[in-house]
Amino acid sequence: MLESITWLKVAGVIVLSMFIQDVLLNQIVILGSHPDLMLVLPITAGIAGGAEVGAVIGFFGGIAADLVLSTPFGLSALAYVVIGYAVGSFIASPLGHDFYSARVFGTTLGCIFGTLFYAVVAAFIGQPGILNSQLIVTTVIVGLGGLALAIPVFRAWGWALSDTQRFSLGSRMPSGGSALR
Amino acid sequence: MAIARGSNQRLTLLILLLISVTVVTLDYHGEVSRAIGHVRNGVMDVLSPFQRAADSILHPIGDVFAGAIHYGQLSTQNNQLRAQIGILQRRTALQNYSLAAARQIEILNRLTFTNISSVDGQVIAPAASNFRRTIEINLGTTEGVGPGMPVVGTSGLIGTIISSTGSASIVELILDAHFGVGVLLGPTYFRATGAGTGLSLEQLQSTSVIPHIGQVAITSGQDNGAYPPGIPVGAVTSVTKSASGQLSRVSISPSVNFTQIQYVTVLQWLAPA
Repeated sequence: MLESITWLKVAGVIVLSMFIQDVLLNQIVILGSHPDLMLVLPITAGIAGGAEVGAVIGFFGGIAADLVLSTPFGLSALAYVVIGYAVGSFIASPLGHDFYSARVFGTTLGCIFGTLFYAVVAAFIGQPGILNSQLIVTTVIVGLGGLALAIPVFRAWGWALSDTQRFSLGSRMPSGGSALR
Repeated sequence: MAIARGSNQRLTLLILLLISVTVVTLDYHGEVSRAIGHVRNGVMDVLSPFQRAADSILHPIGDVFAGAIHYGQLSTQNNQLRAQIGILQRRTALQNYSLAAARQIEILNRLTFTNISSVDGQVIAPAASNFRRTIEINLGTTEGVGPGMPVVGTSGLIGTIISSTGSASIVELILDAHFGVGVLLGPTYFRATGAGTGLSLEQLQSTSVIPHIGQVAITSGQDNGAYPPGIPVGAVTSVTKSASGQLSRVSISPSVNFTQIQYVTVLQWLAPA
């Protein structure tokens, strides 16, 4: 069963991230693009908690992100679900090899491919002017943003997902406890 | 055990994907889209005071760095702005003449929006998305501002308002790929659409007149009156001709410097129903 306190913590992290992104990070415009904390959330959650955690947080983080965007509602949720799941499947930190540098590198890589995947999904559902040269700049800026934001976000998930074994939707976590410890 | 765990994870992924696709699909439905718009406006209303506070704190800090790096450029711009102020002061003095004389001067200057009521405002946040070219301004329905109203700067068209709350509005810039406006370039009508860093023109009528580099495009007022005629949009930067010498492609650079927008004017003008 789901732990209410864990859901509350996760919701708190997502809402706070949305606030920081919209009030602060959107003001940091470099060559026409800004860091994307809302993309970092499902990536770091996937790395630390596994594919399912990444997908769930990707969905709710995407919905929260779409509340302040002018793009179609649900687009971020659709993209982040896949990104969080994919990162959690391919880059999850295995127990016993839990180095912060590996997580940070994985987050940066996830941000780069996540931005490209988001653009492809947006273009697929008919958003014009997405696949252009500015996409390269955006990918680099978001990747660098992921590099800078990874560690504080991992710490936030360490607090919010401390009971990860009971967080996932009915499935059991890998034996040996949470990958965050 | 591992197989069961993997199946559960894939089931979760599938459910979340289906819900996401459903949400995206519903956003294209009129009633649901309006409801989502109301929710988004509510969130914007909550966040806009914090955005203004952050902008008032961060903007001076950014200005310090920008001033140190771009001192020479700023000095040149200052001189240009002084010249523009002089022109605007002269135009304001001209408006004190008789109505007939003022109308004649407007026609000569291709200015037909000086008698439209307007509201001055300020940019409080840049684009929320890396894939849309928008800004947020500190004017909303309380100030008589609403969706569909053109937004202009001192040198030309900035964009159009796409959503408004009581205290803030989102402006879609002319550089955004969703943006389009009818323009007049010399004697020829074109449709200009946003292309990231400039605008691309599509011919609406056949013509043998080839635009020249630097020629200014103005709003034509022909696109169902969405914009009043005469607002500068941009200047021609490239002209491409086909093998037969016919006009193939025209690109324009915006009149407005979008890297330094801070003050805007909203024209309280709506297209006729």
